[in-house]
Amino acid sequence: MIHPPPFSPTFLVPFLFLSTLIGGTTFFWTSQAQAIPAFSRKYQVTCTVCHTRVPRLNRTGERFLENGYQLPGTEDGGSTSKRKLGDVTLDEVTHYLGVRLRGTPLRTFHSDTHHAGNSKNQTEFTFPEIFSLFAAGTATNNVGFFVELESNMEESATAVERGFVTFNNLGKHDLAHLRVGRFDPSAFSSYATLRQHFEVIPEDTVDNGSFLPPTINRISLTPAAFSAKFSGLYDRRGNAILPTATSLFHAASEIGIDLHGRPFGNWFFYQVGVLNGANEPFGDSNKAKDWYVHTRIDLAQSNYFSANISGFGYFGRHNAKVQNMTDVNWNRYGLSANFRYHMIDLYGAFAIDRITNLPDALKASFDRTATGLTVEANVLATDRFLIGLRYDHLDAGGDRTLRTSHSLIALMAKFYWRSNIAFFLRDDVNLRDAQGGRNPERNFRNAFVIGADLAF
Amino acid sequence: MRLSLEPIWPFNRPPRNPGALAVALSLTLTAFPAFSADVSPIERTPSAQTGKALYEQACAFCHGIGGQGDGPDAFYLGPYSAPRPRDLTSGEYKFRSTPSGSLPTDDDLLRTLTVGIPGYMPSFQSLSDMDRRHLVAYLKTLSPAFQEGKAQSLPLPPGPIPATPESIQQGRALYVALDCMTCHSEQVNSPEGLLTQGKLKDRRGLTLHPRDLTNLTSYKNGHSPSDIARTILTGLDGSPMASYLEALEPHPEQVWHLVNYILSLSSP
Amino acid sequence: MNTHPIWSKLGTKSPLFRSTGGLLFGIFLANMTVEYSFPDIILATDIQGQVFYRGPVPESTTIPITKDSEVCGTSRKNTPIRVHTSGGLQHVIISIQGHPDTDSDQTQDYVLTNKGCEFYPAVGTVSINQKIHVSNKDAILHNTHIRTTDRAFLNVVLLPDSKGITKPFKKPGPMTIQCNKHPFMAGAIYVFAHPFHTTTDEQGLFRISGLTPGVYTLRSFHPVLGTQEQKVTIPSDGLASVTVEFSAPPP
Repeated sequence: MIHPPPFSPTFLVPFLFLSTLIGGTTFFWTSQAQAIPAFSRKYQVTCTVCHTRVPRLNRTGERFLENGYQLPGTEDGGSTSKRKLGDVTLDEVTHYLGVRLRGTPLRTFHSDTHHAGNSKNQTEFTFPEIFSLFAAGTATNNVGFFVELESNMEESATAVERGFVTFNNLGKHDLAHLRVGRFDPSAFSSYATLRQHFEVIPEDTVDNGSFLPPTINRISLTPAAFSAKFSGLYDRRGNAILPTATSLFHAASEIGIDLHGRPFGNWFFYQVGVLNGANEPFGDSNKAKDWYVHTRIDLAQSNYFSANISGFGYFGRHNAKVQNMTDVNWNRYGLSANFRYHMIDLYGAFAIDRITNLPDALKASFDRTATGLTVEANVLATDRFLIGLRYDHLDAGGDRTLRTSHSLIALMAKFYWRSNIAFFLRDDVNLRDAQGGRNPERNFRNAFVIGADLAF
Repeated sequence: MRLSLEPIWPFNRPPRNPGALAVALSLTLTAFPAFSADVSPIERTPSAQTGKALYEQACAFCHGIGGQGDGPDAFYLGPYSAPRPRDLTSGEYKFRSTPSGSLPTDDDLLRTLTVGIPGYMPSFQSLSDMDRRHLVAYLKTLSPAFQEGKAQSLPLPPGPIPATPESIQQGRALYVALDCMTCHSEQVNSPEGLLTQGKLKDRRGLTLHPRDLTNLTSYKNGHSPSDIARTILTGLDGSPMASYLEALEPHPEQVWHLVNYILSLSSP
Repeated sequence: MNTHPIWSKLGTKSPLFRSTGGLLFGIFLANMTVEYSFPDIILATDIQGQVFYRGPVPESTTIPITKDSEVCGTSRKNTPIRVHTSGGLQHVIISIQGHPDTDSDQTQDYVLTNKGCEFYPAVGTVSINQKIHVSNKDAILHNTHIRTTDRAFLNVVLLPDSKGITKPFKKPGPMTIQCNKHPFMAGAIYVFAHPFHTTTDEQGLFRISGLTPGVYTLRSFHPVLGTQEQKVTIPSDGLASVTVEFSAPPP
């Protein structure tokens, strides 16, 4: 049977119109950035010294992060812009406190159950959804800290999303850096979960109780490589893990210890870590730990060019449960890479998720392997106007009756009014044909979003 | 590389935080040698080779591994407008105490490394004075121009002088006479100043914005009276900002009046 | 050919043999034909020639002047290719490459004057270690900004009727001259590591003196039309003449 084209060009009309409008205004914009978040204030430099464009880091920013919020090549944590009061050295509050406000004032979703011949449009006004308060910096030389308090208004939840302490340059400069606490394992990756130009738009689900698949009304627009990929997977408390949830190496935060460094100079990076895993809170119910390794090779440092490729492996131990409440091991292996040349920033990740230790009873009905590929390109068209394109391909695994693969393409135009204040338009399109039934991966046709991201 | 600098101590600098050390020790990442209170200062001459190692860790991301100002982050700093990181191979330096078209002195390079460039280059004050001197030694190997010989600093006329209303008034007269408003327009509302907006280019042909003189802390070559006087007298090579040395020569002390007027622009 | 040291010295180092003296001496020698010849003695002679332009002449553009019009006028004609009625091409930088003598005895300053909001001379050539003297003869402020291909050479503001600034040239290569205050002002200087260079005059004529006989490369450079090279033979018995032709500019 031949279906109509998977997406109608009419959805792109408002997008293109507004992009043109926004792009056009940048040519008439001459004023310079004024407002600056914490590190920018501390070091008295603009955001673009460490970011290609906020929130994505450039190489300096990556090394600043690796080095525990100290300038690359230095151990300035105890001195830069600090004042001595008796035997303590203090930073000014504005040098370590920052806030970020982001959200999508407008979201329009279009879904279509093609066979039934009906379609649904859903428009929401939601702003601001996420408010984050950061406190980050250095306590002293080679001791850094990071605390992020996030208030998600959509989920009516306020929590310490991330909070950790770093001990840097152990033994020798850049030999080993340690993070202890609740952190994002993929922070140093070519494609870090928390530094996406395409902000994750959450799913719309109805929870049906412990060890029951939830009703998904709308999927989350998470990069396929980072997502859980499996249907019919539960955490150790019985909450369903949605196939589009960020997880494992790409989890937004997990509790554990992480060691990383560059013992042989700029070209080689290593990272190893141990985590409670599977989104475990304090008091790990599963005493087995997950662990991961990540190595990265960095190439080229001139001609406005740089590239890196990294390989990672995440080894879960009893970090998820399946329908019959037995523990399984959920692992992830993959590659990510980044190629940056002049105004082009191209990056992507490919991940293979594999479940081991699956009970024999489920072997026929449960696909143990799933893959996800995400490729993103960002182009700075002017000083203030960024165009983004992302392709996602999820080859889903898990419960054979529930799992659905998807292929999405997303286009984004982002306008930086200041280097710390951005507005964006985004359109996500499902490349696969609409199908009958209530499958959200296939019903989803198109999402149009207007958003803002402000950091102070 | 940097370890070799302080052969006795495994950290680059003496430790300031016992907590960090305790953790480091408890992890027993490396075999620690005996504690020593401090590294005894050893007389050293700046070494370009040590500077190179530091450069690759701290500078190359912006200035490029070869120093051409084309590091991987350089483009994102100024994609389509100035400033981009300096091309250290050209021998052209903005922040000097020497006449227009001359090389900077070692102290000039050291000053820029130490205080940074507001908005664009962080201060590397946290590196030891010796480390910064190693870097200066390495920077000078990047451009063949430094083999031509040394440039001499221009002496500043005696000053600064008190910012009396008369001095500011004289400075304002000079500001007009020397046509400063052609570029730094806002202060005297000259319509001509606006003509230069977007028309001034740097050496790469990128659009350059003249400094907003009402924003004192954004002055890239420093904002102390001497910094401002030095900028006026030497110019900023690579930008359209010219040296006013000859123009002020009959009465060099007048530069302080001009400095006082410029400083008055940002006082509340 | 062997060059007697004394002649080579006279021929290249002495201003007398360098310019007209050398020429006259050359003519003198040429007239002394049969009776006596100096097979092993080389004399300095000159090369002269004319540069022609055979392509279409682009029309001049007019740049309106809004600043300091009382001195600079209200508009400026911009003629990137200046061609004489005879077809001669002005502002071509001519140099002789490959001459063994590289020392210049040019001690005079190269004088660059801001006058009537123009640079005089607009195009010129100098030798290394010669000094430039920049001055301003206008009643307004000028800014002379001279750049090599990668670096500022001099960027100074000059008061009306100022005594000016002097600075030696240290490196060979092309330089551009601009005035940041008056963007319609433009000029060029070419610095050579040897003394055999000149620019063509209004009629496209040029003359380079003090060359010892031999085969050299004559390089002609025009900022719009590009570079041409041709072999020239400087005879031992007279003046060499050469014609250079530029065709249409590269698209």
